[in-house]
Amino acid sequence: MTRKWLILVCLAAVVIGFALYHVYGGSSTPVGQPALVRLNPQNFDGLRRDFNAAQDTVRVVALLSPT
Amino acid sequence: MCLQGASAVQRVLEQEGNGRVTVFAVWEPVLSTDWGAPSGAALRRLGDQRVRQYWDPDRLLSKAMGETDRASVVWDRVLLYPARQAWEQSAPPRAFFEDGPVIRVVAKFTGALKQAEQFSAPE
Repeated sequence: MTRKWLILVCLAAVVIGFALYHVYGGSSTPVGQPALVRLNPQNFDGLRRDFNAAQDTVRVVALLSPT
Repeated sequence: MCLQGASAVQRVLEQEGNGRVTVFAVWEPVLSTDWGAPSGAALRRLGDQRVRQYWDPDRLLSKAMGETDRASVVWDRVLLYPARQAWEQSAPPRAFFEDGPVIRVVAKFTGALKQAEQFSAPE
């Protein structure tokens, strides 16, 4: 009985760990896209520069939350 | 809801094909489950190569757009700018189209995108 419960707990931990990793783990952008830029007060103006650098295109700004 | 919004933007991009569009996806912590940067799975919801993705943990863009308290957080919104419109001040310029939640305004956003593309045709 104890061994059975131990196996079940381990399996549950693996499943939960996988789920947490899927939701929160790793922040790699898709192939072909620039890397994710983490904004801070020092580099925030870079977003504005990127926006203006793409002036020959229609620009979409989407504000989203990660979950 | 917001992840569905990201997928909705991706579907619009797929419908637009080779349109000259650049998407700036700015992820920000808003919900109680937003513990950290968007996961690879979340980022892959916007897989189009015309997308550039940003993680804004301090919600600097929302604050530049007027956030002063919890009730005024700017999120789950899409803003559209035609070609040649520059961002010159600390806050983004007034948008050609702005609305949200994204998943609920997809049809309006798609129509506005077509208008913006026509407006942006070379002079």
